[in-house]
Amino acid sequence: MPPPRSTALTVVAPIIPARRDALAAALAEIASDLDGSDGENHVLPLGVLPRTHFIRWVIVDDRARELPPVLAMEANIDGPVDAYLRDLAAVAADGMDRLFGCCVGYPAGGARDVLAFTRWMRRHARRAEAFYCAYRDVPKAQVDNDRKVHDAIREIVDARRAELATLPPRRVMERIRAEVRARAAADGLDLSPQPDDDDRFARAFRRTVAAAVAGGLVALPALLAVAPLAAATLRWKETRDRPAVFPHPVRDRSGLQHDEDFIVQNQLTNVVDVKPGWFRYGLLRAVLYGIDRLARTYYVHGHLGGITSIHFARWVIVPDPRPWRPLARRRHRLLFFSNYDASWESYLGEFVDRAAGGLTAVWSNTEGFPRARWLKEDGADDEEAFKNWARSIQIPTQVWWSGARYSTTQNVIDDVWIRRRMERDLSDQEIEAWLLRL
Amino acid sequence: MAAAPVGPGSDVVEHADVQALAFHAHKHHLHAAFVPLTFADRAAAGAWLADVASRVSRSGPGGRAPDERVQVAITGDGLRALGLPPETLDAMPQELMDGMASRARLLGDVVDELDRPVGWSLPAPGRALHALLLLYARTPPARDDLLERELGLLPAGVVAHPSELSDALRDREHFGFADGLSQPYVVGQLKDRLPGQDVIATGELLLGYRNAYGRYPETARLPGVGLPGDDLGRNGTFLVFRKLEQKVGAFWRYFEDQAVALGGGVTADWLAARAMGRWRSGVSLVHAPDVDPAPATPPPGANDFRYVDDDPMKDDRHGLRCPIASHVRRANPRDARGGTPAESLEVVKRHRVVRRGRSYGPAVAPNEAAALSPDADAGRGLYFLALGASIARGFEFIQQTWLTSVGFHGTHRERDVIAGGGPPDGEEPRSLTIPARPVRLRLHGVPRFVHTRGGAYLFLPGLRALAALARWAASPP
Ligand code: HEM
Repeated sequence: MPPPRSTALTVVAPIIPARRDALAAALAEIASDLDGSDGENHVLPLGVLPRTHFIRWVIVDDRARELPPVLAMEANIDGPVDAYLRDLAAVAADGMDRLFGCCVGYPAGGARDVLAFTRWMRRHARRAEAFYCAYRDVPKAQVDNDRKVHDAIREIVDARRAELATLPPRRVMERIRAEVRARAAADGLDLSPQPDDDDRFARAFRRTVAAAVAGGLVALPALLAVAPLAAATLRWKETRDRPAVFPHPVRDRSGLQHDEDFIVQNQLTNVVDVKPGWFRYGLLRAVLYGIDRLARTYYVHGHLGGITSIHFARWVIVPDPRPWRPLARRRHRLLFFSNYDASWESYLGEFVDRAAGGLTAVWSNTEGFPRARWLKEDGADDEEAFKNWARSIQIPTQVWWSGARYSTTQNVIDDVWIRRRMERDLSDQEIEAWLLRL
Repeated sequence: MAAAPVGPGSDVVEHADVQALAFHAHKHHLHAAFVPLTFADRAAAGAWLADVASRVSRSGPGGRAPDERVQVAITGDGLRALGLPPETLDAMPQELMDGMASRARLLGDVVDELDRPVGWSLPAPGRALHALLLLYARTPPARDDLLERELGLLPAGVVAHPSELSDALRDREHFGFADGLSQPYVVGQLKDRLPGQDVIATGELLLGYRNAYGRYPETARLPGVGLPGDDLGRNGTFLVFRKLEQKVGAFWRYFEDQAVALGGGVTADWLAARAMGRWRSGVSLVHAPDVDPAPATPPPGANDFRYVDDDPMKDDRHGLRCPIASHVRRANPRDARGGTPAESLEVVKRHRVVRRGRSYGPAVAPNEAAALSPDADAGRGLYFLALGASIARGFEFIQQTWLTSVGFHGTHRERDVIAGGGPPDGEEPRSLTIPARPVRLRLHGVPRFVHTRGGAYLFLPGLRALAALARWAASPP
């Protein structure tokens, strides 16, 4: 059976102005006791959510006060959205009602009216233009199981180290394996052998490349015809861009840093306007489409173009909800949600150091970004301006929950890698590599 | 506004305008006093700055250095107390203006439920810390004379807190390890490059010069006081001052107990070297993983090493020689931070600091340390001093992302044993992994041996900027 797919569920719904305070209070209550273990969170204890890696709720206000505030939920889940929504209705109906009940048009019967609830949620679900995960298609249950298996191995090695140290590697692995097996039933560990997924992704990647080549060939005449014009338009627009000017370092005035650095990971929610007009909008979508294809087939094991610290990240476009406006004044917004390891400074540093081009290709289509050249040049290379800009578009996240509080991406990947090889026949070399990773 | 782009040739360091500490460790001035100050009166502070500026030591070519060295640095609160205009204050980095105490949690210090640091005595509770006067001399009496003279020259409106004294610059820190071996080579410095020394851009140390990204970072301006381009930053840098108490007795007792528990010929020295990444002699574990060749002084090539090598006999990417989680390897992962070795070195160069630390308190021999009573195992440690053009990208990055981070480079729930901080003992597993064949060794529940007792983030202005600050405070235009 193929594993359930990693899925990005994003729900964005307008808030009823009169309910905004109630919503903020409910979010604050969740935040005060995320998993409900202190008995203070009567809204939605997050520990009960099934198949959830990371989840957050954010109130997105419009700084220009033109667009109504919206509530955004970002959930990183396994498998199909419908099944997940039904589960939410089953285990967290009251919580859903407390939160989304503050939004426009929420069904009168609440989440207990499962059909109406799932339909409403689906209507407000927004597609992720690009969705990355560091351990693609590894379900939450497996992340947990493999961590427990690795923990069991750790304990065994700690307890038996003096004896193990005298054995040849193959015997060491056999001893560990025997002891883990002996504990498996009592500790509820799943050790069943599992293939690596490299081949599956490699095939998908080849298909993507083939499709891109074929599509490119078909479209070649058209592309050649428009390319000079598009390039000229791009350069013309780039020279007329107005990057945000930061004469001073951007001060963190909304207490973003106050919420950072409690567990292994941190989070980030960014909101920024797409530059007006169809050209930038189309370009942005094209770039994100490319990133998404790569994230689904190529960047599936631990890094996104060299960035190793992201567990899950996505870009979502929220179109201007106002009925009719001239093209140049429509305000589509780009939301970016990231769940990453370690500090903000190191994360943003990794952006600049390892993936400046890719990020520039995305965000140079949005307002205020440091000036870019040829879509991906310059831009984020200006480290200081880029970090200032990034802080300036970051907004506070009211509720953020991590299902892997002690694990970095590397930890998760190691756990999965180790457990997959537990019950396999390995060569001597492979055994040495396995032991080195414990 | 981009800092006035400086013309060709301006990347030549203006040493005469740079406080000496940026380029000189004052190694011949073994005795130091650090005097925390409060500016109670602004005009008085201005008058004092103008007066002391004439005695501040500037960088310059070697030769016999003068008998005493004086440096002055100012905190964010100090800049406020001098009455600088809001535009100038706003252009100073947030971490400087917020102050070190506000960053305690991210630095791994013990904090209360409001994120305030616990156990700090510097500055003394309730006292504002506005400036630090750093005094260096060759002998204890000379240092005491210098201190007395400088205290005598303080006007009534500038109040000194109790001085922090460092009694001898030793080449070993209190745990007994050779220190001060690894320092980046800053382009434009006057001393020659040592074997294996990494080269970093001038702008990584000094404001006003091109940094590792090839840019001239924004700096604060102060108009109307005669600064070229009104640039207050040029030739200045930022100073991190931290008082770190070292529980030397607890350190050696712990490693002795662990050595006994592990048996099999493991010694406390061997274990402590895994935690540090070097032997006490300063020899890197990359060069000598099993036994300390124990030269009397660290050999000239002691800092000439990398972690990754194509030759499997020399390669240490898995940390089988020098553990990945050791202090030295965390604090500067060199070529082993990820990506290719060249990429790693490129990235790491953006997170270097110039260290100027000094010990305080009575020394204790490592073989006698384990016998120290709890009472005697106090009052000694390290004044950690580090300089750099960005506190956030330099010191804080190293401290937070490499030393304190519990997931550094694939490790799990570990912190740097030496300076990683973290919550009080017992509240987290705090392990130390020592890679080995056939299986790794792991210590658990490693106690905290180093406790932060206070500190400050400071601006170490250039000489012209110092005079300009004095002028502003004495009579703002
Ligand atoms: C009481 C606390 C500390 C002690 C006892 C200590 C001790 C040492 C020793 C013995 C070395 C090796 C000598 C050398 O390479 O120069 C070293 C290196 C180093 N330490 Fe510390 N240290 C302490 C705190 C810190 C802190 C707080 C930081 C920074 C945030 C830090 C950053 C470094 C760096 C960057 C190196 C050089 C690593 C390299 O380039 O290979 N240390 N330390």
